[in-house]
Amino acid sequence: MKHQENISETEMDKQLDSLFSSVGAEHAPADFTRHLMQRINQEEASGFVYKPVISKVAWMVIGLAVAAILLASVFLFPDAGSTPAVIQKLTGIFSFQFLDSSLFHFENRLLQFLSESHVLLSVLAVTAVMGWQYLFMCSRNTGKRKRISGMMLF
Amino acid sequence: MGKERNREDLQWVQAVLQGDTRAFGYLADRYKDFVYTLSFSLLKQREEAEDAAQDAFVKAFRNLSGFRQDAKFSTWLYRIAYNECITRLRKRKTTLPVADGWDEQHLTEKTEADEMPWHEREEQYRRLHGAIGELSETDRLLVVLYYFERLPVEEISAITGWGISNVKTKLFRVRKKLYDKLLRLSGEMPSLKGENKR
Repeated sequence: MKHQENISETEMDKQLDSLFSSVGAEHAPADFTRHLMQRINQEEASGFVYKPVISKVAWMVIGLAVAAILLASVFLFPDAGSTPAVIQKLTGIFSFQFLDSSLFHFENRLLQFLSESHVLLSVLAVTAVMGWQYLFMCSRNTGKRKRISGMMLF
Repeated sequence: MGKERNREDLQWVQAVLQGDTRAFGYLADRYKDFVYTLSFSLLKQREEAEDAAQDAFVKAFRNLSGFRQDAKFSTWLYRIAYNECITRLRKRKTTLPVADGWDEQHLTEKTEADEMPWHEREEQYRRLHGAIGELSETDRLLVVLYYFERLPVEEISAITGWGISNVKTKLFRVRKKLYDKLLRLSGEMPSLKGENKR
């Protein structure tokens, strides 16, 4: 193969192709597949499988229920004084107050509902659970499965 | 030939998904050299290239259920290997020079097959990989996919995510670059044996 002035692209491609054919591609080490399959078999045999505590379907149901409660509080009970006894019992579960609601005057029923302590507590709980899940996802992505509790939420 | 090969790949993929892990070994045997070549060209270190190739296959095995079987398995696998190598390159703090770890066994096999003197083979190898090593990551990838693995432009486009016209433009540029580098290293293109398989 010789250098040519103003060599065409086709000729250049042909010369390079011949050179690459001659040198050839690399070869993986002889025991590559054996090591790979050992590694795969070890992973299969470990038997540690993460299963979600709450399935995706369950999360959807929870989300829909929360959305339904919010919408109901806004549209069905626009008057704060007309809250049904059932909802009063539910909200009474968390009777302590994070915020002094007298400090805030909410014209909108939705905002008033969201300021309730049980709602805030629920938000905190969901945030804590999602943060826990994030820790698991991080550790899984680095290839190190931290056996903290075997709990996974998604 | 290509369709037959892809059909076989899909059969093995199905076997693995049905629980026959050993079938993955056939896929590994078929594509290990290519994945290793790709990894070595990008990472320039044999041990790290082997690790990256192994990790790529393991990731492919873990995510096999997500493989869309209307696509080629080889394209999907190469994409995983490419992403694995890029991730490792990003984590590196310094750029390594071309590794001086030319493969003695590989060169021995080729020399015996082609009756080319050992020193000529070694010289060709060093010159070619020296020139390739001076290219950017993108250019090295193109060189491996087009010249070593002889993939069509369409498949290169699918692996890299670049448009077909973009691949052709990049190939045009890298061809010229590589040719010029080889000339600079040797004064003329090295003499060759071997058939042009295209």
